[in-house]
Amino acid sequence: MTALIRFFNEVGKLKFIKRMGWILGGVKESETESIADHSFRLALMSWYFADKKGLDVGKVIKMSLVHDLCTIYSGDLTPYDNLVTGDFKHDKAILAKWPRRAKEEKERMVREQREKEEVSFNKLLANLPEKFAQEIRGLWLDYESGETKEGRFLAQIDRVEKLMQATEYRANDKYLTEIDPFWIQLKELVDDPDLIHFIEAMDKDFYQTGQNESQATSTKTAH
Amino acid sequence: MKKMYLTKETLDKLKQELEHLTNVKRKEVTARIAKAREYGDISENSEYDAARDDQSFIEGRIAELQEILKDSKVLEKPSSTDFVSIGSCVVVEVDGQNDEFEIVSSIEANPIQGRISNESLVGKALLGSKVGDTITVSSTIKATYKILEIK
Repeated sequence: MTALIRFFNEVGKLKFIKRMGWILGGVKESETESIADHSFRLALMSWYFADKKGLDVGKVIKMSLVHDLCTIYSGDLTPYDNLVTGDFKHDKAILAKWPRRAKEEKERMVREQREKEEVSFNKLLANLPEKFAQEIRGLWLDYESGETKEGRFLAQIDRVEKLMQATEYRANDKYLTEIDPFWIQLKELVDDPDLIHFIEAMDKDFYQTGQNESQATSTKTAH
Repeated sequence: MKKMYLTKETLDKLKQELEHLTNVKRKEVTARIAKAREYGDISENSEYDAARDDQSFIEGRIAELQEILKDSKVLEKPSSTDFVSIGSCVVVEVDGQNDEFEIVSSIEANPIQGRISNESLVGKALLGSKVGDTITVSSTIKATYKILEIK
């Protein structure tokens, strides 16, 4: 039982590990979501969309819960990490565009990140009951490599959740650069018709219906 | 299901996986279930539950692979680099930067590694384009891609 207690202690750290991309974009650390915050909404979104498509709902929810576990040790990595300086005035122009790279460079970065994450998983799962550890590792690998329908689908919902968070921070003037890269990136990343339709609805909601103002007002009132 | 074009390498990998699941893993899990039943009351038998979970996963994956393989064709390397087709590598200029994509079927897509699906908005728009063309994927925020090279 001690191993399980330690595992859940470690997982609890995800409540406090911040999603670094928002901080780079100007969101105050105290107002930046944690990895656990992101995983929570991702699980709910994946439940709804996976059910609608007839996918294995239990699997995508579990996958949502484990997909970022490795950040406990590897920290939250962003595609801007080797481009930014930490000085927001300088970094603003970099963050306004999605970073583009040659194919070999993209593959190299993914390989390096995967290696770091593997090390984290080995450490985290080392003393867990074998079946539980195997299932977590299998779900993570599926998500990373897009081996099954559920893995490929969750990777896309993950990006939609991120876009949703971007619109909320932007609407409330917390993220201080344009969020155009989030929209553009999804045109390349998402191929599921239901998700494409949902993103179009989000676009309308954010830019055309005044949701921007109402979100800002309600949040300011709440504070 | 729509016809899917997959590289020979991916098709071979999927066929091998299906063969292994059908001929090895399915038999193994059936044997595990039979053995677990021998332990008695299956309502409180964790080995039985675990084996049934594994069986459910294996059968789900077998069904998925069979569905994919039934509707797949081998993707030959595009014979022409005159225009973009599935299997093409495309160098584009977007947002003042150069990027490189390989256009692949949905199940081979991994955009972070530069392989984008032919069913994504950008993938669809690029298909059929030639060097020098500019395509725009519209929504409130427009994305414009100028095709620099097709490999």
